[in-house]
Amino acid sequence: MPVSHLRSDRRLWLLLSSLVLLISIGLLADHIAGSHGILVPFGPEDVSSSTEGFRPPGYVEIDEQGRRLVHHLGTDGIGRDVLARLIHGIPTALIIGIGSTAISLFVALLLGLSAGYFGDDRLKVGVVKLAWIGIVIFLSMFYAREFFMQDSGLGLLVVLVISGISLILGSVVINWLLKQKAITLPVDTIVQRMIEIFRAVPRLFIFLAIYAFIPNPSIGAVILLLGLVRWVAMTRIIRAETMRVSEMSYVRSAELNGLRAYRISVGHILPNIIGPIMVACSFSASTAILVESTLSFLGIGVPSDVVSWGQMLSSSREYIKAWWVAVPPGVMIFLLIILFNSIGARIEELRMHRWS
Amino acid sequence: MGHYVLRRLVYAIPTMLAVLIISFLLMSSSPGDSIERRLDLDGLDSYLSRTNYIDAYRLKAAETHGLKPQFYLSVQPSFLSESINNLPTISLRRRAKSLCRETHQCETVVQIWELIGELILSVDRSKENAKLLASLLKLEQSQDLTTLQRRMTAVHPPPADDELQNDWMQLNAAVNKLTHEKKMFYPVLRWSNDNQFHHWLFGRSALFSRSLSDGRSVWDRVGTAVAWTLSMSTIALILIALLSLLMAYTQVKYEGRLIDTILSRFTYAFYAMPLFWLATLAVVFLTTSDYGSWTNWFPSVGIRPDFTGAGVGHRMLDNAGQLVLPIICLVVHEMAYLSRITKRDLLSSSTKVYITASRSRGLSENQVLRKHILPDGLLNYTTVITGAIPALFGGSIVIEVIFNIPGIGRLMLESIGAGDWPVIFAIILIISLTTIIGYLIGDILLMQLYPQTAERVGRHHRADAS
Repeated sequence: MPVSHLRSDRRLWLLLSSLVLLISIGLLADHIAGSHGILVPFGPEDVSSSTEGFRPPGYVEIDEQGRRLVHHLGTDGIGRDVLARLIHGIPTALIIGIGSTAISLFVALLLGLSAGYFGDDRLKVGVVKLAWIGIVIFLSMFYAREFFMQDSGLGLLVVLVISGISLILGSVVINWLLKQKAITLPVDTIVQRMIEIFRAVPRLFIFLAIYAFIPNPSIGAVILLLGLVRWVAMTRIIRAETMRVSEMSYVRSAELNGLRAYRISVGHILPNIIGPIMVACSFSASTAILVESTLSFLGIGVPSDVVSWGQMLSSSREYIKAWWVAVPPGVMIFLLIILFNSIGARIEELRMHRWS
Repeated sequence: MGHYVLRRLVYAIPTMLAVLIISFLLMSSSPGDSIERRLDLDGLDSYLSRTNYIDAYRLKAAETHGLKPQFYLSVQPSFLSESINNLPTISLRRRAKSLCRETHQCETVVQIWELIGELILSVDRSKENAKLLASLLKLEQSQDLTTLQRRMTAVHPPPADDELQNDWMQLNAAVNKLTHEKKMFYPVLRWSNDNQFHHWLFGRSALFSRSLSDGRSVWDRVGTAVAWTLSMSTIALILIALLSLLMAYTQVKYEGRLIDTILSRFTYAFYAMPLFWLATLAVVFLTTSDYGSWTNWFPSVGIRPDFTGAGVGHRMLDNAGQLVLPIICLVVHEMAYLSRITKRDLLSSSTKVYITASRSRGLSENQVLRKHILPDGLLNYTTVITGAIPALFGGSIVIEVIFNIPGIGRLMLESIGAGDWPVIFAIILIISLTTIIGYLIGDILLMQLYPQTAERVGRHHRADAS
C-alpha cells in the first residue's frame, strides 16, 4: 500500500494532529465552554445578564453568585458570548465537512469507478436482467415515496429489504433460467451526461431551489444535501484515475484470471487511486465548510439552534461597528479551510514526488 | 472543426432539455396554490362570496392551465381515484390527497369535501348561519384525519327542519366512516397530452409569465436584475482577467524574488478567505470612520430605493459609487484563484523541452516568456475565463446581499422567501442555459487555441468508446 509513504512525513503529521486537536476540542466543547466550563464560563446560548448586546471584548459581567465573568471576545447582538459560540461552532463545521464528504465520496465511488472501469462498452447486461433491475428500481422508488409521504418508517424499511433481496435473487434466478441476449450499457456516457446536467446549474442556486421546498432543514438534512449536490468534482477525479489505472497490466491480468468486476474495482483499482481520493476528500471537506458557512450566512443553512460560524458572521451586519463579531468566526472558517487544503496539498505533493 | 462544433451542439440539446424538464417539475410541484395567489393579486378575496370565488378560480385555471397534470407521464398510487379532480381548487385537492394517503378511502374523502363545499355554498347564499359557516370553513382546512374528526364534532349542526339536513347527515356518516385502515396499492401510470408542461413549452402559458409577489411580468423583473448584475460582473471579469494575467506574469518573470513571495502569500490568503467574510470585513472596516477617519474610504452600503421611476441605467449611474467596493471584493477574491492557476501553468510549461531549446537558440528571457511560455501556458486561464461567463449572469449572491444590490442573486433569494416560483424558474433557466452555452463557447475556443490538447481530450473520450 502506497499509503505507508505518508506515515513518515512530519509536516503531514503536524497538520493531521492539529485536525485531531480540533476534533477533540469539538467533542469536548460542552466541557470547555459551558456554565461549568474549564475555559469559558458561558454556554453558546447563555444570554448575558445585561439586556443590551454587542458588548466589546473584555466586558466583565457579575452573575447572581457575585462571580466575575469576563467575555474575552465580547458578546453578540443578544448578549451571547462570542468565544463560547466560536468553540461550539467547531463540531458543527467539522461534522458538516466530514459528513458531507463521506456522502459525496460514496456517490462518487459508485459512479466514478463504474464509469471509469466499464467505460462505454464493457458492461454487458442481459436484456431480461436489465428490465428486471429497471422494474425493481422503479417500484422501490415509487413505494419509498409513498411510504415517506404516509410517514411510515416500517414501510420504508420493508421496501429497502424487499428491493435488495429481489434484485439479488432475481438476477441469480434469471441468469440461471434464461439464455438472454446481452446489450452493452454505455455507463460512461450516462455518468458524463449526469455530470453535465448538474454542472449546468450553479451550486448555490441548486441549494436555493432545494431550500424553497425544505424551508427549515435539520443539520442531518443539510449534510445529506451538501453531500448529494457536491459529488460532481469527486466523480470526475475518480473516473479519470480509474481510467488511468484500468489500463495497467495488473488490472488486465486480474481480468484474464476471471475476477469479477466488483473484485477488480475494489481490490485492485481502489487501493491504487487512494492517493488522489484522499486529496479530493480534503479539498471537498474544505469546500463543504465554505458552502455551509455561506448558506448559513445567507440565513438558509443549518437551523438557528445549531451554532454556525456563518450565522455568527451574518449577525455582524446588524451592527457594523462590532468588529469582534465579524472577525473571529471568519478567522475560524479561514483557518479550517486552510487546514483541510494544506492536508490535501501535502498529500498531493508527496504523491507527486514519491509515488510516481 | 465544424464536425466538432456540431457534435458539441448536438450533445448540448439533451442536457438543456433535461434541465428544462427538471426545473419545470420542481416549480410546478412547489408548495402553495399559484392560481389562488394570482387571484389575490387581482384583488379577489376568497371569503367575499364563495360562488363568485369558485367561478373566478375556474376561469383563472382555464386561462393558465394550472389545474392540469404537470407532465405527460404521471405515476399515482392506485388508491388515488380520478374523482379527486372534481374538486375545484389546488389546495382542496392537496388536502384531499393527503387524507387519501392516510385512509386509503379516496371516494369517501372526495365525497366529504364535495359535501362541505355544497354546505358552504348553500349557507353562504342564505347568509343566516354565520357560526355554521365559520366552522365549515375551518373544517375544510383540515389536513389529517384526527383534525377533521375533531373539527367535525365542533361544527354547529344546522336546524333540524332545514333543507341542509340531508347533506349534513351524509357528511356526518362519511366522516365517521373514515378509518386509518390501509389497503394494498400499486402504481398507476397515466399519460396525458393536455398538461402544464406542454402548454408552457408550446403555448406560452400565462401561469409562469407573471411574478406571484407583485404581478409584474417575470421578464421585466428578471431583466432589471440582470442589468444590475451584468454591468457589475462584466467590469469585474475584465479586471480579473487583466490583473490575474499581469500578476501571474510578474510572478513567473521574477520567480523566487521578493515580489513573487509577497504576491504568492497574498493570493494564497485571499484564495482561502471566504468571499462573504472578505466583503463583511470590507464593510465593517472600510465604510465607517470608527477606526480612524483614514479608513472611511467608501460610501455606506445600500443602493438608494427608487421612487422616481428612473430607468436602470440612470439608477446605476446615480449609485456608481456604491458599486466600487463590491467590484473590488469580487476582483480580489477571484483574482487570487485565477492567478494561482495561471502561475502554476506558466511554470509547468516553462520546463518543457522546446522552451529550453528556444533559450539555447539565444532568445532573451523576455522573448521566451512572451512568445513561447505565455501562449502555451494559458489553457486553464482560457477555460476559467470562459467558464466565468455564465457567472456573469448568476452574479454573486453573497456580494449582492451584503452590498444590497438589486441583482439576480438577491432577486433569487427574495423570490424563494416569497415562494415566487415563476421568477425562480426564469432565473434558473437563464443561468443554466448561459452555463451550457458558456461551456460550449469555452470548448470551441479551446479547440481553436489549443487544437492538440482539445483533440487529445476528444480522442480520450472516443478511446473509451472503442
